Amino acid sequence: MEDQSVALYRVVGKSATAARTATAMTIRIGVDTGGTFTDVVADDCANGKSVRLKVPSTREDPSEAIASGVVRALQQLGKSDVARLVHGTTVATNALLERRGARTALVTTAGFRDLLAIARQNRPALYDLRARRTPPLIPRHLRLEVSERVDAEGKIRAPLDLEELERVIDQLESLGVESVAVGLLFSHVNPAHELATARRIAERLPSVGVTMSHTMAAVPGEYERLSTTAVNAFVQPVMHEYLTRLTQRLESEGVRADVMVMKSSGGVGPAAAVAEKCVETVLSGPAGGVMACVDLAHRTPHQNLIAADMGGTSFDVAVVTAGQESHARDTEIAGHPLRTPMLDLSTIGAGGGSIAWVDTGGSLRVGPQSAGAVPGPACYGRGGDLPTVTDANLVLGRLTSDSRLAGGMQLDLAAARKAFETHLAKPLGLSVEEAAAGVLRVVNASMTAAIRQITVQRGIDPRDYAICAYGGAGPLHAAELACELGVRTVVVPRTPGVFSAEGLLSCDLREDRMQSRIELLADADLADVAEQVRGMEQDAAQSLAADDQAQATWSLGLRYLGQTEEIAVAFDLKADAAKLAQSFSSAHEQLYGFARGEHAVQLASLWVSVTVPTTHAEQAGLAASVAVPKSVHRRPVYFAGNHIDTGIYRREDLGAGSVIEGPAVIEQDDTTTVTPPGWSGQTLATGELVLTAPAPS
Amino acid sequence: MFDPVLLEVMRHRWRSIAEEACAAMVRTAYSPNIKDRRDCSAAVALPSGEIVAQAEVGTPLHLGILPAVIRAVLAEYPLETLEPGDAVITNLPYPEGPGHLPDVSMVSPVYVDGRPIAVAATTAHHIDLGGYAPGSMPLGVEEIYQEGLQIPPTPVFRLGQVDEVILRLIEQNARTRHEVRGDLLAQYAAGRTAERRVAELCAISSTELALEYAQHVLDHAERVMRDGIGRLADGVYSFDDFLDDDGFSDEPVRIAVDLTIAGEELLADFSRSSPQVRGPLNCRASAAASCLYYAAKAVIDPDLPTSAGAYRALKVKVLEGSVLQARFPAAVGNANILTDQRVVDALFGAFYQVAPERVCAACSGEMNLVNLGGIDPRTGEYFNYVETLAGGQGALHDADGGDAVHTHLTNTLNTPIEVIEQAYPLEVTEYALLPDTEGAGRFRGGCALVREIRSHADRLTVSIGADRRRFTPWGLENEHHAAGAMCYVIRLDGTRELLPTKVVTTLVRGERLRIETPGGGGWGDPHQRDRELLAAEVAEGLISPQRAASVYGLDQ
Repeated sequence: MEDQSVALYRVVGKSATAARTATAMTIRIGVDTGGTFTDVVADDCANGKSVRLKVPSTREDPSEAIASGVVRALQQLGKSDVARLVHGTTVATNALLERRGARTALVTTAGFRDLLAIARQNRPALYDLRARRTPPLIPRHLRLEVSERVDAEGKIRAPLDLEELERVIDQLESLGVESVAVGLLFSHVNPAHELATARRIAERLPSVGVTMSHTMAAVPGEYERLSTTAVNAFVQPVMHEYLTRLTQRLESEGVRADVMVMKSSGGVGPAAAVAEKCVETVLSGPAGGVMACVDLAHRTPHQNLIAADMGGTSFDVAVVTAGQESHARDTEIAGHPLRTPMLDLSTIGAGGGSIAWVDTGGSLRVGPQSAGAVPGPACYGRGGDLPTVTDANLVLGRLTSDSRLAGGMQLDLAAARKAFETHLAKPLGLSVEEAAAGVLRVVNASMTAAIRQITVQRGIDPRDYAICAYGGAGPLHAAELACELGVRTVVVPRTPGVFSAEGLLSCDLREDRMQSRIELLADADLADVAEQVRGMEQDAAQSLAADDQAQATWSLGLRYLGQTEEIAVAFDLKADAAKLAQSFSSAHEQLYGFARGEHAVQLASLWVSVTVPTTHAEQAGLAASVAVPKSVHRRPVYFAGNHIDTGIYRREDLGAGSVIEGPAVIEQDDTTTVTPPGWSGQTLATGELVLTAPAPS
Repeated sequence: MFDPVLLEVMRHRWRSIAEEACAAMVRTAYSPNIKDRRDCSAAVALPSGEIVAQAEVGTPLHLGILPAVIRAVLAEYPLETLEPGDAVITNLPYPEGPGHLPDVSMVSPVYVDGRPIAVAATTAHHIDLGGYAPGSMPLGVEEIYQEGLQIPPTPVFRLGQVDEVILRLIEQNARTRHEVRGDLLAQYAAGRTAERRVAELCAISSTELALEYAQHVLDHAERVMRDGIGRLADGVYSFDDFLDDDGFSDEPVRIAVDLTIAGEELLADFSRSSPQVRGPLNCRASAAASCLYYAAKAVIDPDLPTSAGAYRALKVKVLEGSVLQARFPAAVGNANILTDQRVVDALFGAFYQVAPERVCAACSGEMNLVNLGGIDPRTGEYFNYVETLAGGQGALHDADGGDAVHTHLTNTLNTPIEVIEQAYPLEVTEYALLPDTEGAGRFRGGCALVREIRSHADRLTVSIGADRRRFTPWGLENEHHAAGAMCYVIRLDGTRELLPTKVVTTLVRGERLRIETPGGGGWGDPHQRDRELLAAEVAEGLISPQRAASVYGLDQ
C-alpha cells in the first residue's frame, strides 16, 4: 500500500500544538453553539469551582459569542489558561443544511459522474408526487471523469489516463473550483488511482482543498462513499476558515486554549485534524448530550439510558447501554447519506413549537409543521396564533406565564387558550384543557414511536432502561413518555439546559480508521492483518498527537461469503481464525436470529479506534437537605382529566436525598420537570433528579 | 363515538407494529434483493383482511395487493384453524394473490390471550423460484407453468417449526436455493415480531380497546378518502393508454379506464381494456385494485395515514378474460413491472381531467426489469442478479419531474456497483443520466438513465422486461413525448444490436448489455420554459443545444 500521509492537509493554526506543551493548566471548558444560545461550562479541576452560563448566539459568526462566553467564564474563575476547550459546533451542519459551502467539483471514474444525482434511484416518499431527492451538492458541469478502473479485488482493470487527468485539472482550474472531491470506484479496496489523482490535483492547484473518498469512508457502496466525500469537500473550506477564526479570536482575547472539536462519533479531536475531516462533525451538537449521558451513567446507578433531548423544533434520541454509547454505520443528514463514525442518533421534528391541527377525518394531529422560534407558539406573542405543544403545556398549568422559557420572556396564557379554543377545542367539541391534554398525548405518541424505532427495532427492550431527559422541553414530557414505553425511571440532570455542553468536558479524544481488506477469513494471514492494523493505529494516534496514554481497539468487519453487511468482531494479536469465526457467528445469531455454521466467513474490513481517555473532573455533590422540601407555592395543574392542586418547587431547593411526591412541578432556570400523580422524585447526591413510576398495581 | 386523541395515539401504535415487523424482515433477510433493495412489504390487518397499518418502506404495489392475499389465505385456512406459530405462504396469483411468482406472501395469525385477533402479512420478492429463466419472470412464455413454482396457500410453519419437507421442495425448485430459507425465515421473524407487539399493545390498553380503535383507524381513513373524493366534480373521466406489445405479436395492449366519480364514491371501470394476451403481461383484479389505491391516495391525500379503510370508497371493475382479469393459467410474470405501471398512467390520465393540479404526466411507465443469471466462474455456483431500473418522472403543472427515479408502484433501491461486482461475475461500465430523454415542456419530465453491464462469465441468460418504446411517455398540455426504452447487446467487435423490449437472450464473456430507460412526460409549452433554467440545463449537458433550440426555441 502506498504512503497515504501525503501532504494534502492544510494546517489550521499553531495554537493547538503550542498550547498542548504548556503545563499546570487546570481549566476545562465545553462550548456548545445552539440556534438561540451558546452554552459555556467551565470546570477548574484544581479547586472544584465551576461556571455554567448561556450567552446569546451570534449567527453570523458563532466564534464571537464563544469568545465572549469563554472570557466571562474565565473571569469568573479568575484564570486565563485553558487546558482544553471542547467545542460542539453546528457550522458544518448548517453549511450543509443551507447549502452554503465551497464551489466544489467531483472527479470520478469515467461513466459514473451522475452517481451523486441518481443516488439509490428511489424517492423519499411513496405517495407524494412532489417529493424529490436532495439535489447533489455538486452540479453536473462540475462533475468530471477520468478514465481508469479498479476491480472488486483491487486489481487494475484499466490504467489511470494521465493525459486525460491533466486536461481534467485544466478544467478544474478554469471552472474556478475551491474544493475537489475525488471518488473513484473501488478505491476502498485499492486507492492507488485515487491517490495519484488527488496528488496531481494538489500539486497543480495548491490552493484547492482535496478530499479523497477512501480516507473518508473506506467501505463499499459507491454512492454513500461519494456522498460522504462530497459533503466533506463542500463544507471543509467553511469549517477550516471558521476554526481558524475561532482560534485567532480566542488568542486575541488572551485565551490560551487547546481547541478540540466534538465529533459525531462521540469523541473529540484537535481542531486542525477535524477541520480536514469536518464531515465527521455533522452531529457535533447532539453528540455532546449523548456523551453527557454516558458520563452520567458512570456516576449514577443508571447504566442503561435512553437519551431524550427535546427542544423547540426537534426531538433527538439515542441509547446508552451499560454505560456505552451506540454507534451507527450509515446515517443521513438532510438527504445526504454519510458513512463516517457516528453515534446512533435519531431525530424527529417534534418539539415545543410543533403545531396541532384537526384533519378532515376529525383526528387530532400534531406536526410536522412547526412554529419555530418565529412566529413561535401563540403564547410567545410574536405573531403566531396556532396552537403548539408549548401552548398546551401552558394551558395545562405545567408551564407558568413567568416560566423563564426562551430567555425570561413572559408567556401569554390568554393567547394560548384562544389558539386552542379556535383551532382545536371548538372543531373537536372538547374543552380547551381536553384539547391541550390531547395534544400532549399525541406528541408523546410520536416521540414514543421514535424511541421505539431506536430501541425495539434494534432488538432493545426499553423497559430495561431509564429515560435521561434534557433540553428545554425534555423534562416536561419524560414521565409520560416513560408511561407509554413501560419505562419506570426518569433521570433529569442537574442543569438539563446546558447538559450537552457538559458532555463535551467528559469526552475522550478519539480517532477512527477503517480500511477494506477482502479475503476468506480462513485464508487470511492474521500476522499480516495485525501488521496492517498496527499501521492504521499509528496513523490515527499521530493525528491525535496522542501520547502514551492512548488506547486502541482493533476489530475486523466479517460477513458470510455473499453477504454485503459486516459485523465488527474484536481482534487482537492472539486471535485465530476459528475463534474469530465463532465470535462472528454468535454475534450474527444475536443480531439476526440465526447463524450459518457451515458457511464460509469473509474478512471485509479492518477497524481501529484510538482513544486518549480524559480524566473526569469531580463535580461538587449536593449537600444533604431536609427529606421533604417545601413547595414555593401551589397551583392547579391538569392531569388525567382533572385540575389537581399541585406543589411547585424550585430545583435549587432540593438537596441530596430530598423526596417529592407527585403531582409536582419542579422549576429551574433552564427547564421545568413534571412529576405526575403517583410518581415520586428523589435527588441524588450527585445532583440528578430521579423520577420513579408508581409501583404496578 | 371515538376519542379523537386516542385515535391518533392508537394509529401511531398500530403503525409502529407494522414498521417493527418490516424492520425485523429487512434485518434478518439473506438476499441483497431484500436487504439492499428492500423489495418487500409488511402490514397488520384485522381478520377481515382489512389492513390497519403498513410500513411505508416497501412498494405500493405489494401493499395494495395484501388485502387480497389475506383473503385468499384465510379462505383456505380460516383464522380459527391456525395455531400460534403457524404461517401460511402463497405466491399464486389465481384466483387472487401476489402479482407474480417471485413475490411470496406470508400470513400468520396474531394470538392474544389464546384468541386470534389479527393477522400479520408480508410480501418479499424472492430471487428465484424456478421456471424457464433465472429470476422467474421470463419473457416469451404463455403459461404460468413456465414461470416457476406455484405455491398455493401452504402452511410452511407449524407451531413455530418450519416444515422441512415443504421447504426442501421449494428449495429444490429455486436456482439460488440457499437464499430461499433465509428470506422465508426473515418473513417469519416479521410475523412473530408483529404478534409480540400486538400483545404488548393489548396489554397497555385492552384487547377490546385496541380492536375498537383499529376499526376507528379504518373508519377515519375512509372518512378522509370520501371527503377528498367528494370535493372532486362528479362525472365520468376516460383515458386510454397502451402497452407496446406482449412480446409475441406487434399488437398493442389497450389499458383503458372510465373513472366515475359520484358523490363520495369512485369507480374505475377497466372493461374497455384488451382481452388477455399470450405473453406474461396478464394480471388479476387485485392488482388493478392496488393500482387504484395507489393513484387515489397520491391524488387525494398523499399524507393520509394508510389503512384499508381508505379503500372502501374505491371500486374496480374488470372483465373476466381481459388482460386485467386473466383466466388461469395465463402467464403473469411481467404484469407487476409493466402492465400495472400502465394502469397507473391511465388512471392519472383520467384524474387529470378532474384534478389537473394533483397529477403528473406519464412516468417511465415500466420498471425495466433486468435479470442476469448463470454459473459464476469464480465459484462454479449458480447466481442470479435481478434489478429494476429507474426512469424519468412525469412533470406536474408547476414542477419538473424527477430524474432517474423509481415512480408509482415501485420504490426499490439499486444494487450498488461495488456490491454487484463483488457478488457476481459482472462489470458495470456505465451508469448515468441520459441527456435529451426528458419529455419537453414548460415543466420538463425527468431524464432517463443508462446502465451498461459486461459479462465476465462464459455465458449468461438475460431476461429483459421493458416497454414504452412505441407508446412513449406522454406529456400533458402539449404534444411532446419523452424518449422510450432501448436495450442493446454490444458484441465483442463493438457492434450494437437492438433487442426487443421483452426478450430472453444470452450474453457471452466480454459482451455488454446496454439498457436505456424511458424518460418522463413534460407539461405545457416548451417555449415557455424558464430560459435561465434551460440555459443551465444546456450548460449541465442534460439538454443539448440543438434540442434546446429546436424543441424549446432557445436563442443561441
